[in-house]
This record gives sequence, C-alpha cells and structure tokens, in this order.
Amino acid sequence: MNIKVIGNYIGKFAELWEQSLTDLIKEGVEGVLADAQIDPKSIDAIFVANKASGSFNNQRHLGALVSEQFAHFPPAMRIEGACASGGLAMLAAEQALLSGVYKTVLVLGVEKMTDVSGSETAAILATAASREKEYGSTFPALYAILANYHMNKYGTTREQLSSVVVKNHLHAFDNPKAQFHKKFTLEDVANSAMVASPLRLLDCSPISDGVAAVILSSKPSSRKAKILGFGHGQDTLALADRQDLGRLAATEKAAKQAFLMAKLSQTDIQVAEVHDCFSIAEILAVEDLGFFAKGKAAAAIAKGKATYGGQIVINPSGGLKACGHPVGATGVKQIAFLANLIEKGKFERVLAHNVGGSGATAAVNILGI
Amino acid sequence: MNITEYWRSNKQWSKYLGKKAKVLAVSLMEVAASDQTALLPYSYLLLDLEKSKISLMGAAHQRNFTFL
Repeated sequence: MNIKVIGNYIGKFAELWEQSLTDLIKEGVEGVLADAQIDPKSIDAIFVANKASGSFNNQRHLGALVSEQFAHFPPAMRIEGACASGGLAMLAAEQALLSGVYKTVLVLGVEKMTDVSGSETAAILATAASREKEYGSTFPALYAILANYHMNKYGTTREQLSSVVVKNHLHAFDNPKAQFHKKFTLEDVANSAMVASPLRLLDCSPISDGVAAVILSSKPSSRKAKILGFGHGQDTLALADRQDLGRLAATEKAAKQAFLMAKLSQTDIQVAEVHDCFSIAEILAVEDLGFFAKGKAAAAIAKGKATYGGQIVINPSGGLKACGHPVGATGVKQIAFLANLIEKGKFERVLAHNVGGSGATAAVNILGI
Repeated sequence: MNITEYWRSNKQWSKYLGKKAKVLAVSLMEVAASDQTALLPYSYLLLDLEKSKISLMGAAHQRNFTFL
C-alpha cells in the first residue's frame, strides 16, 4: 500500500462561540492546504466526517459545503458513523485511493456542537443508540452499563477509572490544540458530580466544537507518515444484543484486520490514540486492541504503563477526554495528530482507534514511516 | 422518542409484564436527555430474561434503592 498523509491540520478544540460550522470548515481546508503546500486543484475528491450537523446546526449536505471551498468543486460526500464518522471517512478515502480512481483526497472532520443546550446535545448524541431498544439511555448510561459489568467481572476500581482521566489531562498539557489544560487528581475525579453511576462528570469527554483535516495521496511524496493498515468492525447497535459486555467485538475485528494488513503486531506499536469517550472506554479499547490482557488494563494504566516511559503511550493528545470530542472531527484528529508526531520524528509506528456508539462501529488505522 | 416510536415500543413492553429477570448491570441516572429530564433520577438496567436480554428504564423510584 502506498498512501501517505501529505498534509495535516487540527484546529483548536473548544467551545468556539465565535465560529460557525462554515467557519470551521474554511479553517480546516485552508489549514490543511497550507500544511500540504499543494495546488488546491490537485484534490481529486473530498470525504467529510460529521455526525449530526443536521440536528446541531440545521445544516445537511456537508459534501457540497466543503466542495465549494475549492474553485474546481471536487466530488465530495459526507460519511456518518456516529462518533466513528472520522475513522470511517478515513477508510472510505483509503479505499478510494487503493481503487486508483483518485490520487489525492481530502478527509475533513467537523462538528459544531455548542449552539444548542446541553440537554439537547445529550438527546442528539443519544440518537446513535438504538431508538427502539435503548429508550432512556444516554451515552454515559450505556458506558456506565459497560463500566459496571467490567468492574463486577474484572474488579476494576473507581481509582483505576480515575487514573485514565488523570493521565490524559496530563498528556493534554503538551497539546496546544486541546480543550483543557488542567491538572486533576484521583480525588477530583472521584468527587465530581455523578452523571450515570459509576461514571462521574470527569469520567466523560466534553462537548466540543472543532475541525481536523488530512490530505492523503498515492503520489510520490517526501512526507514521512504512511498508512500501513486499516480495519473496520461492526457489532450490534443495542447492548442487550451483545454476546459479551466485557469487550467491544467491533474493535477486536477492526484491529485484527489492520494488524494483518500492516504485517505488524501489538508490540510494534509505540503510541496509540484510542477512543476514550469515557474513562472505561479507554480501558476497554486497550484490552480489545490487544495492548493489555483482558481485565488487566485498568491496573496497568494506574501503574503508569500507558504513558511516557511505560509499555505504550496511550492518548498523547489528551484523547477525547482532555483534547475534546467534536464528534465528526475526532477520528480525523487522531490521524492528523499521529501523522504530525511521525513527521517530527517522535514515533515510527502508531495506531488510531475510533468508535461509534457504544461500540457498534470501530475503525482502526495503523501509520508508520 | 416521538409518539409513533412510543406506540410501537409500548406494544412490545406489555409482553414483559410479570416476568422475572436477572439484572446484568444497572446505572443510576442523574443526567438525561431533554425528553427524559422530568423522570430523573431513574435507573437504566440491562436485564437477562434467559432467552433474551432487554434494557429498561426504572423510573419513579427512591434514590436509595437496592436490588435484591
């Protein structure tokens, strides 16, 4: 496979009250073109990742909205897979490049979430759950069910959940684009307001606005970051239909495909951006990706094995938890952030893991030099 | 949930009346989506009915509840 990330851009993740959805799109397009230093006319197609602009902003048809930023109006389509929209847009772009139809494509993820109230946001996000089988659920509720199950089955503790949060907020200090630059203690997390037991406010990723973009190309390039493998897994939408609540099968399937394509194993990966929409989600992710044995990740994270100097660095950007989670942008941000680390020579083998819903969809990308 | 979804779902819920189930996992909800905030606090449960599993809201209960 010969696909390189020839441009990357991440806008500031925050509550961006001064910027509209269109402002964010313009920022992403201009930012990634400036980084790639290519003629805009060389963009053959556009893949836009977005979960719910129709609900948040009363604006659908995002493909056209991004395409019109270019004088030559490249073909564009919007990809939606809940919080995995960015990861799925990456997969669609990679498959298009592998088909040979296009040589250079733009993947842009964007979400403008803060123009509606918090409870409206919760209702919009909950549409990614099964509307027929999970009435009364919210995303925290679904992950709370997974957390309770994990705690009962593997003995995962409150303190271990909190250690994920503490780590990712520390990592975010190195990322100027992160939404939060604030240190938290284990006690801060354990004493924060209850949302859906056992998940508290500081266990949850925030509501964010933001844009991220990458340009992928199969043409020769001096840029370093290369796509080595990718995978896509699916599972049931409703938790009640799952075979095992202790694992996300979609992640396992996606990881297996990606590692097979990349001809690598888990021990080759130095750093990973994983989908930590909640503290328990990071624990599930690093187990299902195979970085830690099932039931052992929570203790390992608490012992410092998922940070610098440990076994693997998990979520150096701060993850969804501290960097922010503008839903459609998240999966693209993971790729842009990791590609930038490779360009700077900091790492050579990296992995991105993006989840939709409570684990019904998963996308995994492996990048390297 | 809109009224048509409620009507379709309500036809199904009646078949669970009187059934005993094992609680696989439960969360006490303190924050909810806009159409359910009036019901807070409520519990969100995943139940095993042996031949199938369902998730349910447990509304209008006291805060300090216990499952036996």
